[in-house]
Amino acid sequence: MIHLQQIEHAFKLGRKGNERLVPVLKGIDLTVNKGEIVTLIGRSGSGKSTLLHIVGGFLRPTSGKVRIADQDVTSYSETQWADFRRNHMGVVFQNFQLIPSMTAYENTELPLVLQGIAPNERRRQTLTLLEQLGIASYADHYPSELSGGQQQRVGIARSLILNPPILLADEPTGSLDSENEAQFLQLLQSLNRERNITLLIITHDDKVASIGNRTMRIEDGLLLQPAEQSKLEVLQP
Amino acid sequence: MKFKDKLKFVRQNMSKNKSRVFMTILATAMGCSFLIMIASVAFGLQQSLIDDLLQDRNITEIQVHALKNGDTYDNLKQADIDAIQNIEHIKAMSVQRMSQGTTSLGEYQSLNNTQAIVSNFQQEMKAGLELEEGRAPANDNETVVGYHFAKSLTKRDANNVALANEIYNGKLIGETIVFKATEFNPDTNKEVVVGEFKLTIVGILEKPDREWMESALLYLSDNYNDKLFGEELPQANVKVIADGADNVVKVSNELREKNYSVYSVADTIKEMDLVFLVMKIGLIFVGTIAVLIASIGIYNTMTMAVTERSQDIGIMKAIGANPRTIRSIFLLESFGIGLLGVMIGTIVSYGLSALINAAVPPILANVLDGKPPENFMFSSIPITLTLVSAGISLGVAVLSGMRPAARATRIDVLRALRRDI
Repeated sequence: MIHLQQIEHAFKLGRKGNERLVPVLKGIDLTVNKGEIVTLIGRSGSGKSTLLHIVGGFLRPTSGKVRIADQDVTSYSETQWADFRRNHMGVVFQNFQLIPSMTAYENTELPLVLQGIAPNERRRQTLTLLEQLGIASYADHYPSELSGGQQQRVGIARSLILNPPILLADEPTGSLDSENEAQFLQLLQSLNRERNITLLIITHDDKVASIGNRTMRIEDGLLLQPAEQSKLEVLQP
Repeated sequence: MKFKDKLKFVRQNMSKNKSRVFMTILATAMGCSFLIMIASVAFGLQQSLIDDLLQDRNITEIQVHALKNGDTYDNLKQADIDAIQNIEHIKAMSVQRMSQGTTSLGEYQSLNNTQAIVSNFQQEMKAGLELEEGRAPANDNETVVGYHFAKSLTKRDANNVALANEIYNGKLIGETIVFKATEFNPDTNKEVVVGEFKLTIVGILEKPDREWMESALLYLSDNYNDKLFGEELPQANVKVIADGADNVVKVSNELREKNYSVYSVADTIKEMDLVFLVMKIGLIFVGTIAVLIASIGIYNTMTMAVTERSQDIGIMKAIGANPRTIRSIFLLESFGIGLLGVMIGTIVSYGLSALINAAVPPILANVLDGKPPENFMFSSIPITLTLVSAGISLGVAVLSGMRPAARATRIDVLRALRRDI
């Protein structure tokens, strides 16, 4: 479903004319199969978020190739990426990223509006999904009137409303308490089972990482294979 | 994204900062109103001048003064006048020769000399002469008189002095008058009676267009030419009426080709139109500067809107909003501000125009110490001016929203989300 081949990325730092390149990703190869949950863990600054930004089309890699859903998206334009994201992937953000002036219903409905779906159909789909996620009674609430867990469910609802085959999540439980975190992880697992959604989750939390069929570790811009990980764990208990 | 949904977005966005949007709409309305009002002065003055020019003239009328002969001009002879009739697109031809004399109706006599127009009455009617009452003369013994004819008849005392209070106030139609035609004899330096004619009044001409004009003349059939002038006819006042406004230029040109010296009100209007066109373009240009100043407000409002909504834009882009969609939402918003401004500005302009037209004539009357021209219009807003002004204002509004809209599409998702993703 997702194939990353020799992905490298470097940020330009410093003043214009006196810039220096800081490499963040140093040749990442990663394949995520359809219906698989892959969790990427790593310390702050290890490059895991950068990798997710590249998969989500928010950053263009300095070199390497990105193939998602059998399409080479490496050199997609912003417009192509917008269409591709709408049709193939949902994104769950750490801080929920709901539009404050919109209700839970309107935030969830937004991708359907962007897709040009008719109002009646939008209403049916949105209410059904909010019902499934147990937040239908909060449909008319604004984000500021919802708890962290409820906001994250609205975020999930928005990312799932167009039935994407891929769901990207970056530190999805970072703003949740332990009770909400557990419920949220259960929700992700059930979505994976019921909808066969491919999940790529970035986290630094072992509990979140534990829901993955595979867990990979990023260290210093390099993706460590399971064997290397265990070696690392032995060396650094 | 459907257009209706974009409109909903725009409405929501505009209601987020009502006072700022209102002030921007107000500035646009003022700019648009200024543009309309300043150009409306040119339209109003043009309209007033043309109305004044056409008040007692016909747009299809062509005056033929003389026949060009090298560098000099000869008086028109009857043969020259007859030759004009062969030209195409002529509806009627008025050939008038003037006579004068005294008129009496019973014991009433004309106060001053009566002007008599010797002409073909049928042609005069075709040329646009209208009657207030009665009918056109059917024979040489019948006549039509001017609207104020009765006022010109007074009784005389024993010394033949006119009695100003004894004005004729009876009916005119059906009455017989005696017209004593006179002619000035330069040798004896005296008026000489040329003939005396009994005429029955059968019609009264309509009131002159201008209030200050008094018409006490009478019409005589062109059969009186011989009786009054003999063989040597005096210079005639010749007017040709074209069969349509479109043919005035054609007939005028053909007359000029045949060396006639002509003048038509259409020539003057054409020249005036050119002058006013230049004036209107100039004033619209000046008015557009006001709209451009207002556009700075739109630019500012839209730029602030993009800055304030950068996170919302980032979220929308992250969930798959096309940059074109983002741009069209912002362009629609600046168009909406422009449209509301244009609507308010246009309504205000029509109100101001009516107010100015009502207020300026009395002010002018006081300043000029006299009455301004009748139906004088200081400001006129034709639909073309409204459309041109609306087009300019809306165009400028959209243009001023283009840069902020383009900026919105370039917003970096990661930066907008404060790299929370």
